Amino acid sequence: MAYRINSPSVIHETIDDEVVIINLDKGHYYSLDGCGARIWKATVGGAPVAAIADSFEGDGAAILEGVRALIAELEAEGLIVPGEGDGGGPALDGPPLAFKAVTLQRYSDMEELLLLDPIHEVDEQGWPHPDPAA
Amino acid sequence: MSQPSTAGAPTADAPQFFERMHQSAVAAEQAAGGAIERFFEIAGGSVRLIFAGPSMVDFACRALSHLPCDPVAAPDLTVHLWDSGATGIEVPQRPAAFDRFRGNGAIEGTHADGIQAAFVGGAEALSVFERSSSTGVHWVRDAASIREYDKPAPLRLLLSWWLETRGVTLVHGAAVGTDDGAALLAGAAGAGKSTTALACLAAGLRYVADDYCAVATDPEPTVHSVYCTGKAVTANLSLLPGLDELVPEPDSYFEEKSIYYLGEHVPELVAPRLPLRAVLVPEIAGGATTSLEPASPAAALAALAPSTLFQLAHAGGTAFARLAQLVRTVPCHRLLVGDDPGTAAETIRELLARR
Repeated sequence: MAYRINSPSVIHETIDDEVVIINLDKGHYYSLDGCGARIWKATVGGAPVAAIADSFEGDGAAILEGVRALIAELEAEGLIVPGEGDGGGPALDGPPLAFKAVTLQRYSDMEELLLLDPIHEVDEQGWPHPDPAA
Repeated sequence: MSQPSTAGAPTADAPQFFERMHQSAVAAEQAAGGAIERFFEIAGGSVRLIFAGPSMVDFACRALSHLPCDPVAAPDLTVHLWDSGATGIEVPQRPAAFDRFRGNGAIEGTHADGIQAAFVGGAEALSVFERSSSTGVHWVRDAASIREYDKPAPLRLLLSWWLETRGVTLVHGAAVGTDDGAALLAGAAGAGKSTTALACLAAGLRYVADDYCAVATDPEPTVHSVYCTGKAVTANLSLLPGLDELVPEPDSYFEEKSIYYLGEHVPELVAPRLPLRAVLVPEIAGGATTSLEPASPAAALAALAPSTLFQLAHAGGTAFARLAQLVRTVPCHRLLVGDDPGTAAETIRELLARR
């Protein structure tokens, strides 16, 4: 299966070997570096899991499990969604990288700023207005 | 009180709603016996504020008092302001489609129509901006009830939407500097931005902002002052021993914060703009001195972008890309602030003098 970024809700920037990802709907942001940054870049480029795993050096089974685990976490967080196409994606650039455990750093300290709720108490014009009697 | 529909939010009503807001503002100006105009230059653009009577003039103008300019016939941004309390002109009926609001006030579904709108519940303030005419309308229920909390950074959503159309991002950050340039202090609330910025002002650095400033990357990184205000935790004023020599008393208070309108006291120390030379991520580290450690550009971006984008309704990928461009262009450091935040001034001065 191939994936794409869950845009426009999710935006991201890669600088050197680090990625900063922002979910504008949920108010969460994330960082990845090293192997995680490579997996992110390849995944959102549409590369299949097997090709991503092949771009690392180490225990093949552990690599495949690690890649799958991160992709599942990215999907669970709503950062990627299944994409269209054949999953061929772009070629993974760079030399093989020694695989290390990957951690998706997740920050939710500002999520209240993006909470999306229907309005509740309203004035005669329909705009939010606290009930003076409450 | 009634419960509104929670149906979906098509956006077709947004342009018509802007027109109704504009018409209501003009009606309020007539009801008030005429409009009052004030002009400012913000980040290189001319801004005309049109008030329906005097009730909101001080609210909007005081924090901008360091950026006055002569009247211009065709300003880059025009904002109409009115309040129902003083004028009796009510806000237009809320379109049924405007039924979902984010915590930062953004009204879902308006952005795609060339209109940006936000309702900030705590302030009972509604801002609407039409990009094609570069015109904004700002309404509050009652100017007499505007919170001190909202006065140091008035109209910031409208200004952020307008600035973004000009390739400038209103950033949640502080900035101080010298004639060599400025350092941008990035971080979420409580990271020490305001205290460090005021300590640097007291220690002789030039002051750009303590909470919000405008950042451009083209043609070169530049930080623009928007508000001349500074805030400090009142209990921490002892950490700012030189500040009372510049400003003897705070101008106002909000909860635990003391608020200063620095443009009224030390306008010569408030820089309208400076070249931006570094991004610093402050941390309260303690110790006798303040020091610098390298920070990766991505770490600086993580400190700068989320709080900026989440606070400013409707911000998105373009602003994020601009901030990423900034941290790719200028050096980034952690600023490990000592027990005396005034020691940050010399550290920053030395950093800026290296170029």
